[in-house]
Amino acid sequence: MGREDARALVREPERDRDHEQDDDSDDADLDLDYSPEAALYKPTDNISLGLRGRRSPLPGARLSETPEEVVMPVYVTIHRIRRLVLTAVGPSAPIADCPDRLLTLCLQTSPTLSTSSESRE
Amino acid sequence: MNTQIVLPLVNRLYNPDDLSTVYCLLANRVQFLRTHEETLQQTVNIARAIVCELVAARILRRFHEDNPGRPGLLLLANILVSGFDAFDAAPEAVRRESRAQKWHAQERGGHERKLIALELAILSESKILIGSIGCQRVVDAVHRGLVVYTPLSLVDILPDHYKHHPVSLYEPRRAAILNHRRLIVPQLRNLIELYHFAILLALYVLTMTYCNRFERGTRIMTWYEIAFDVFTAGWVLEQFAAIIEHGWEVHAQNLWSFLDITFILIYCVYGATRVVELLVGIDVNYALPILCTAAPILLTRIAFNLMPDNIVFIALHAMMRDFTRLTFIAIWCFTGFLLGLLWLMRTAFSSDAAWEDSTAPSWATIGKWLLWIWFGLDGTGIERTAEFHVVLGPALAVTFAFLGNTLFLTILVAILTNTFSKIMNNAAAEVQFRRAVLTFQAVKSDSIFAYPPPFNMVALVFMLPLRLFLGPSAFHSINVAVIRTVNAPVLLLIAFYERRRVWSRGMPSVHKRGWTHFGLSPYGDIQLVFAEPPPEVLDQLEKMDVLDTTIHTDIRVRKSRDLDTASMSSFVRRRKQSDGSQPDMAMY
Repeated sequence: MGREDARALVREPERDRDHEQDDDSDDADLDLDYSPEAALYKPTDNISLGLRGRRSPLPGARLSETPEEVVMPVYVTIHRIRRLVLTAVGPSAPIADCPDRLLTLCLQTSPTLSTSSESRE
Repeated sequence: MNTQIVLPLVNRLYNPDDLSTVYCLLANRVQFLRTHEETLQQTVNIARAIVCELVAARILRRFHEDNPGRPGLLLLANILVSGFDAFDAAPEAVRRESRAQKWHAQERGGHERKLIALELAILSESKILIGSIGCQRVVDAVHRGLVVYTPLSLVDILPDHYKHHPVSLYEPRRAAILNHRRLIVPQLRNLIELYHFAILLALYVLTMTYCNRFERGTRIMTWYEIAFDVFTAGWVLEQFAAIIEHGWEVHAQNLWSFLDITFILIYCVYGATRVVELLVGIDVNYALPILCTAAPILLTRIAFNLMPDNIVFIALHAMMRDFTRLTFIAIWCFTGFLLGLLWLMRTAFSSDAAWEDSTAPSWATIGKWLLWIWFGLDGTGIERTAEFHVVLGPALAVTFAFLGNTLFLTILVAILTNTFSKIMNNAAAEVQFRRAVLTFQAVKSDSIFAYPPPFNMVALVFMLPLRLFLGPSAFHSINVAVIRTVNAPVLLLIAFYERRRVWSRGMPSVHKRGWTHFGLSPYGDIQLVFAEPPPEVLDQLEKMDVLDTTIHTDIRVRKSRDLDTASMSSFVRRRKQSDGSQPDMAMY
């Protein structure tokens, strides 16, 4: 399967609601928590949401429709990163013999202080 | 360095649609660290591993900055705690080859062989990444049970993988009253484990206190001892399940793992000895003295439990590792001195018969002399070895004293000091790392953890065979029903606590003031003044400082010019209009 929108991972629980339909409802409490609506839930509007009751699960869904169908090209990315890092930090690179110094320099530069816009320039 | 190496990599690799980048970077880091000792380019691979961690931390930070609020938290949680298969999207031939080389994993409905990024971060000790704000946000949410997920594990003793819930946000008001999944929320799990350990400690104390009530060497066991044995057997089973869940490498990162292992060893030796004593029935008493040695372990362990974030315990854990390694090396090397002295002693006798008839010191006595020399306590060994050989005996002993006492102990102290100073220099990151380890380990996959000891042994005996006869769905239903029954009081307490916590969000906050509640703290006002101000004060604040995205520019402009009296007057006038009161000019 090719690359799909990885953000579907955030939405995917919606497709997983059927898990509770065919079972003993032992964790039916979690079904709504997977929805984007639950993700946007704010503690301040708790009363109205809390009294709304339980939504019925999506009809027709099956256990096979699991989130792992969203496939990340992990294998390719791992090898891509390895190639990039091997090229960036080669044996003759000036930082190769001073990892501690590299670490110190990088930490001093901007991990906490600079803004994102600065670090992306 | 940052501009030339790290940032270009971050810019190239950051893809808002690819959540696996951090996982892939950490996988590379693990591999670089693993191979750094095998290759000639040792330091280069360490540098590469550090680059991987730095790039991962930066990418995670970008995700954090680009995705605020609760959806952002969910996204970060998916990056860090959802499972990824390293062979996803790999060519089929490569997948087949890799599967053939590996041990057959437990069936998990397609989630076998997956690992999460946080686990790789712990494994590779990526303290910069774990200490980053994005990671800490997720760790904190998982710790408090705001983010829930079905964990992945290496091996489960009592597997129940019928359902797999992806990473999601938890809302207690919509949850069932008896929600057995709350038993694996780290905050609650740590409390439950502490409670179990306190029971174990209490039973141990009772066993040792009342061990002499009955005549020694008989078959009689006190009720306390029976209860201790049964409960501890269940506790040991839980520890064993915890070790195999993520493997020893991850489990060893736990602060008190070395104490647990030591106690388990003592308990096993005690158990075996006690069984022999009871079966044989001879008038000996070896088991209970063995159990006495567990006292320092258990009392230290509960201190670790109560103060897991204390830097002293964190340093102790790291120093203990160094100390064990160095002591092992020292014992290995110095065994040569023991053998040398033993054989030197035998050469002093004309025959084996003469040696056997003599009252020459045994190997234990010689070992004791060497130990005293090592710690610098006693020089008997140096004097007595002259009986073995006038020159070579003392020469060996003095050499040992020089190497062991002077050189080795100096190295040991230097290494321990170095370790301690490293930890103290990076104390915040160390504490965050240990907290992440505790959080990650508390989210248990194995359903054996849902049964408190000693019920977990009963579950193992009855539920595991049941799994063979029932389908996954039926087994899951029965398992959940039994778990809820066994844990009903705890689950009710959890439900009450969580609902109360949610309800209290909409109500006026009740301050936990402690001593200040009684007005005993001299600094109570400092805490009280930071309570949420009333609306009219908030209104005044809004009028005084308009906060928007240009606040920084505004501040810079204000700094560049002097505040003249006129502007100050208008500033004060605004406040006067708002509340109608006369402002105190001295305030400004």
